[in-house]
Amino acid sequence: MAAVPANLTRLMNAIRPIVPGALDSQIQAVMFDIFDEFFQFTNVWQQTIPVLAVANQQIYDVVPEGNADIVRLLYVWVNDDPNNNGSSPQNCGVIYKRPIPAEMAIPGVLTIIEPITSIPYPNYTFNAVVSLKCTDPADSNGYPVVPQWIVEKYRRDFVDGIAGQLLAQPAKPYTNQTMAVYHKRRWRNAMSGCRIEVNRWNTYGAQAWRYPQQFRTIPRHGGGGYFGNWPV
Amino acid sequence: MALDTAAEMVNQARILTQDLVQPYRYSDQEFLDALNTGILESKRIRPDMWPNGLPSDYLAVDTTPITIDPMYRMAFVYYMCGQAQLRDEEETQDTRAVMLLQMFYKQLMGLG
Repeated sequence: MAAVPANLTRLMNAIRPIVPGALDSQIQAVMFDIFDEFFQFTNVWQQTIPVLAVANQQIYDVVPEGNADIVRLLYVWVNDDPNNNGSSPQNCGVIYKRPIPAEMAIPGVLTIIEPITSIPYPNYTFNAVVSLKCTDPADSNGYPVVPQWIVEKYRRDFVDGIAGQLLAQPAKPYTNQTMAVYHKRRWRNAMSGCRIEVNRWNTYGAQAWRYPQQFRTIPRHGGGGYFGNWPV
Repeated sequence: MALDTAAEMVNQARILTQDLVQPYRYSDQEFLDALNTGILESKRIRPDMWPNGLPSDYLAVDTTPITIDPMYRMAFVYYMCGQAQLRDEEETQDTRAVMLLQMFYKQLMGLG
């Protein structure tokens, strides 16, 4: 059995006094649900998955790295310049990142709306940026496997979410509807705040304004957004 | 005593029922039956105690580990004592039996 990360220990220690009598296994079960809700609502856990392009192929399987499930596709980009990998500070390569219209009706199945007919250079890849959520199995201590920086940054908010959920359970030593409402309200506010931070790329004072979508000139296909969160 | 084994649970129940001298008033099997029944009852009122299903019945007063969460083990001892005294034919034991069984429910369902 591996050692429990310090931030999870701190999280558990913060929750236990709020819900006296709650079993650790029950706290962990609720923790999984709360993490799941958080990731699905906020898109905070993201991963870029490279997919090798094949001429005239429209559908690709996309598998995230690590123990996670895909929630939704955020956008897809390609690098049109093979000599620029975007790592040079003088020429950061952002201008070569071209968004590609795509959708993901089934999580994990990427559909390129307009498949390319010829590969411009070897190893030409689509980069699918997806949001993730935790999945089974849990780690050897029973905790859901999630990025530790998210637990660290939003630990106080997770306390509210987990405590709110536990306090709302019926017929338990810790049942307390009044405090459940209090913690749940804080939890909803925290999730909204996190979603805004994600939309602004976690940058203070970043542009919150977005071009009015009713006047957009690039169509969305099949409801699959590919341009809404484009980081330019 | 951490109530870690079936023997420690039964021994604690004997202390509370003042049944420490052989021949015992309540047999080992009676206490084990009460422990197993208490676990069934706890599943009804606190299903979260058994997320992976109920444990196997305790069949002997030995070092079989107790899988009940430590903070609730004493409640099960009260249940074992309550069940034993409920079977007792002395009328004076009825009040005590009811009180012990209520302590079990109170500890599992509340903070008391």
